[in-house]
Amino acid sequence: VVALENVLRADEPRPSLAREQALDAAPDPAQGAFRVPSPQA
Amino acid sequence: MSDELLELTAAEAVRRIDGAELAADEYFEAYAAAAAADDLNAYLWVHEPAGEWRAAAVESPDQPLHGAPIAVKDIFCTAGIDTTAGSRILEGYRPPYTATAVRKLSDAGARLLGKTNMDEFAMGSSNENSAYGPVRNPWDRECVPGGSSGGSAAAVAGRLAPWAIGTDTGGSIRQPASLCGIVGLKPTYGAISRYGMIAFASSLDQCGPLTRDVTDAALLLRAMEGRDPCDSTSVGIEGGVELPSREDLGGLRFGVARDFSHEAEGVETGVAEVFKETLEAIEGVGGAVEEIELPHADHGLSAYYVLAPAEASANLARYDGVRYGLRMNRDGDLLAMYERTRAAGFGAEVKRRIMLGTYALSSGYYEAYYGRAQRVRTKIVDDFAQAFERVDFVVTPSSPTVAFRLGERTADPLAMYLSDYFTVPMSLAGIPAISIPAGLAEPGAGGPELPVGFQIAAPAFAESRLLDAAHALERAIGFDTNPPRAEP
Repeated sequence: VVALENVLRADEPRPSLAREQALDAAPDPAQGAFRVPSPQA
Repeated sequence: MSDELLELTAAEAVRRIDGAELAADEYFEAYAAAAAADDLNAYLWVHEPAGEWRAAAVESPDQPLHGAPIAVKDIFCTAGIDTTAGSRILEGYRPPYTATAVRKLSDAGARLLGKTNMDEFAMGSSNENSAYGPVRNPWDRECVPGGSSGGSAAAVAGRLAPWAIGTDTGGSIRQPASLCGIVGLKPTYGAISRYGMIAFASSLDQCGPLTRDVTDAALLLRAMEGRDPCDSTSVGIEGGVELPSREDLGGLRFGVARDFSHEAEGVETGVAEVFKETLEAIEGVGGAVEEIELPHADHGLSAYYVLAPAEASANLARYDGVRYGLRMNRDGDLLAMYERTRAAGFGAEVKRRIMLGTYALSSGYYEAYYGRAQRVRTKIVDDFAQAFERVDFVVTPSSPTVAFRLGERTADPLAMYLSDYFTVPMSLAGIPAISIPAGLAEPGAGGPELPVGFQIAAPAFAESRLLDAAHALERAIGFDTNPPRAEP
């Protein structure tokens, strides 16, 4: 046992950016996701 | 009446509001009118009278900034308000959240007056790299205000804002403050959260104030510093920030490195003269000037122009046309979309640095470039550590020249990079440094006199001591920050 405290914060789930907000600035959102051209158009 | 209001330092205005001698709304409206009539291109966005930011400002006597207006560099995310970082690639972008530094100012009672123009992604020393046009220097409209926080500096000097915040990666607060005759402070790396500050070079970027005097800078720093769980590199300033009160420099030692100050190559004669006069002013109020050595400072710029582009090339990879910002695509595949978006969205200097940085980080070259530059950085850290064993502060001119003319250096990136010769080493070492206006000098090529800045650097997290000394020196110099009025 070593006399050191863990410097990492507790791993607790927290709310983050809502999906609609995350998609709000996207150039081409579709079906709740970011739509991009096909890699082989 | 409003002209008189615009001459007050922010600290004085806040004091009057607190004492009910001045109405917060009257003060804000005076600046809102001035900012709306911006003829320096200092602002990219000015507050809308009915905007939610106005309405959201709840005036509480407990808020130390009492509803004072503040100009914010357009590199800070502001929820629902356009945030471009001076780039086409972010034109019209409205972030979903607000930067911690701005939120803390708002919590302290400041109200957002406007978002200021800047070099694209903070890459530049003249504000000519903005996608939205250059900013003009209020001292001479044919001259640049410096950069990259040129809009913030010009707004404060030109009485379009009482104070402003900017960011400094290699001198982007101190150099424009110097060229516009105001105070600019780059705090210790880690003093203020970088959350919501659009990243350029993450190991160097730091937020700080641009103000008319040292007390105003201390007030803003005090409101913004602190540990933030959203930025793991933020630690805050232990013990907080004390407002400066010192009136003399008795017992303080100021170190000058002969070959890294007024005697360095490329320093204009007028700048060297003002620097020497300022050293005499230091001695006049009891300070001691001592010779020191910074043997590796001369290599700071070379190391910086490997490290900063390397970090930028990684940070700017996020602008891919997928999640936000510009997308250029007509009929191509995914790769073509990325390429067209980035080709159209980034300006020439940003592309230059992405290419430099990508090259420096490429397999087989990483050690020779990035690795070696990091070792130079460590040498510079050691230089300052040794200097601070002998002296309390290290001083230099803030920039080798006064403000230069628009277009004068745009064709020569190396000449432009030299503007930051004296400010880059402190950024590499992560230590705090302030530029205060020290006098006026003729440009090397002749013409009307322009402001000269004096830089004072201190050990990490010694901001309170630094501000105290700068305050005493500012009193001794007695510089008038008001630029001559343009002919009507």
